[in-house]
Amino acid sequence: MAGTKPEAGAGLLHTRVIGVLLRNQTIFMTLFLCGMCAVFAQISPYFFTRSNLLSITVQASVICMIAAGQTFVILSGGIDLGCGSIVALAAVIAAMVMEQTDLMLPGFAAGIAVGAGCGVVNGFAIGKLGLPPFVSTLGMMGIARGAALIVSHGVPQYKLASGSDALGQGSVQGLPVPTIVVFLLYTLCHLILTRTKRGRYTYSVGSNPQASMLCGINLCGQLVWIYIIAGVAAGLAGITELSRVGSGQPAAGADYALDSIAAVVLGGTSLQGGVGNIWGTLIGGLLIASLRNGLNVMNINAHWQQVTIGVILILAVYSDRVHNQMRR
Amino acid sequence: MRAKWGLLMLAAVAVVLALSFGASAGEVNKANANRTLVFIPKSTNSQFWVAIWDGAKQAGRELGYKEVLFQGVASLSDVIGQINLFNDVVTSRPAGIIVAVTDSKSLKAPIEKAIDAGVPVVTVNSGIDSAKVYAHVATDNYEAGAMAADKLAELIGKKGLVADIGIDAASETGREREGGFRDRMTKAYPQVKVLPVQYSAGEVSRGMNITSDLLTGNPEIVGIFCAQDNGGTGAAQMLKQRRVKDKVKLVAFDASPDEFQLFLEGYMDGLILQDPFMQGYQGIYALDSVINKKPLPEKRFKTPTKTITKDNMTEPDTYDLLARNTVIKKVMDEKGIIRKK
Repeated sequence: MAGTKPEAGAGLLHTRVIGVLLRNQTIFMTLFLCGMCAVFAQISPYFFTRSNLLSITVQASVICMIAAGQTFVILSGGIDLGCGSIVALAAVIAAMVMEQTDLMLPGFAAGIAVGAGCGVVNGFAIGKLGLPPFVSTLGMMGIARGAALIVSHGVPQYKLASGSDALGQGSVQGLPVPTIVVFLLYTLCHLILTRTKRGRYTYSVGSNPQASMLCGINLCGQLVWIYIIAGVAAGLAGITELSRVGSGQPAAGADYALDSIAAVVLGGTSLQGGVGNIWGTLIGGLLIASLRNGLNVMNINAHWQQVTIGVILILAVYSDRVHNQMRR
Repeated sequence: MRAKWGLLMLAAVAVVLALSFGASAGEVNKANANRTLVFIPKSTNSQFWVAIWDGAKQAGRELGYKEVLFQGVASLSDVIGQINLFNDVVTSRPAGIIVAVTDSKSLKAPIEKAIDAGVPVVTVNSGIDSAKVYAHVATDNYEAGAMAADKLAELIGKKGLVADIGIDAASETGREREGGFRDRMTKAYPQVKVLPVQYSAGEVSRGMNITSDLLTGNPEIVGIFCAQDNGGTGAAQMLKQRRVKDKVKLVAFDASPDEFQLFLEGYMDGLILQDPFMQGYQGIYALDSVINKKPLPEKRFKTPTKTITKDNMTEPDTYDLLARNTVIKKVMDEKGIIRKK
């Protein structure tokens, strides 16, 4: 036994490093993303160019914004299925306000306010009335979508104020504005989650709601706060989409909720709550967008894209389960 | 005395005869007065369906129907949603339904069941493969796709690489348009190469992303074909953002207000305009014939399509087609686009 110790020690370090890498899903996903990009770069010379990489970040921006809010929700042990509909409602209302006032800022403010409003309703239903998040946000998905269609009569609103395309299409020093906004948003969310009381309570509520309550955390207030953040994030995503696309589309975002959940889960946040980090979500969102972009740039058949994205999501959730089992 | 009674009888008979003749002329109208018709579009996400509804409402007014309702799902990929909606509408027993079908195979059973249950159904824009449906009013999508191929090929000098942005795998309309486009390109313009299809699923943002990626991956693209308005709007938006106005030619379908705006700005070079108003209008007339047991001259009605460019926009027949859409007419009036005499 003594004789074999040095070899055992050296082997242990080697496997320990790999173990850490594999167990930390965020690091794993980052490596996966880099590996995937390397493969795409070999197949198409146009993939790994500055403009295409920036293009990926712009295409990922709306989902990443929604996913930032979704991270808070999933960390608390809940889920937000209605965020895609909130995006559409915020975009439509912002467009209509812009058409009425011919000003950019009131329109954007209205969009964010709509998101916050939906968040308040969600938080109240889940926190005060005690409805399960799945059911409550499913209801919001229908309500917000219906409201968007009613208010716009089902027709895209394209009369926007001048200057409003800066948010979705502008660039500062060569960096696209949506990319910068996403980065700032994620930095802010990281600071909230790690440095503020409310942020830490989010983890706590997701990890063990009963213990959190017994420790004196106001569960109802905390949940309302969390869902307002999710709503504001969705509102921000809505006005960014509006600015990028050039019109408020009432039927937009039907898949966005699922994409945002995928981004959060891929990044290492557990669906059971209490574990995860915001930067993982960013990696998850970039992974999905890079995958779509790469498959488009390589002219791969549209149907295979669906299959690939689904397979990767399953792999991620499976490793999430394995990770959880190892933790316990 | 007897003469007076005779005269009274004569007068009474005359009045009864007059009333019955008068009634039969308006009898159909009166019978329709309590009848509700329903139009089920593929989705509520495009002004195109509202244009069909306008035509349907006009016909409904002319024929004296109580109302023509508009019931649809939010996305044209939501096939199950349309099936459920269709069945629910049938349960409410309207006098008749005109429907634009999202998936020709899936809607076949519900439509045939409705017809068997006594609710007449006419399909517009996209139909099903069934002998039971009373009529089908649509654009010849295959031919329209071929027209798009002709226009795009002409614009790019009959050679080069073009992108194909379709609607959705389930959409029969999309498949026919693409089929028409590809077949025509292969047969008539062998020097034009068409990339594999990508689907915009009726969403502008997806059309934008696809266009952006295709342009990145294939910088030598000289033309783009979009089988539907929202995908086309997305492609035009991306061309605008990338500032490649003259380098890449774009031909798309229909003229939604936001799409038309980009067309006027020059980011779209050709629009294949259908006649949605006429589809709704003729659809209701066909349905009315079925409801009131009048003979139908034929089962398949083709509504015309025209290729619109900046050059021929003011010609009388193309202008009239555009102007049938009230929103587009307003835009044209605002921009000072006047019909040539």
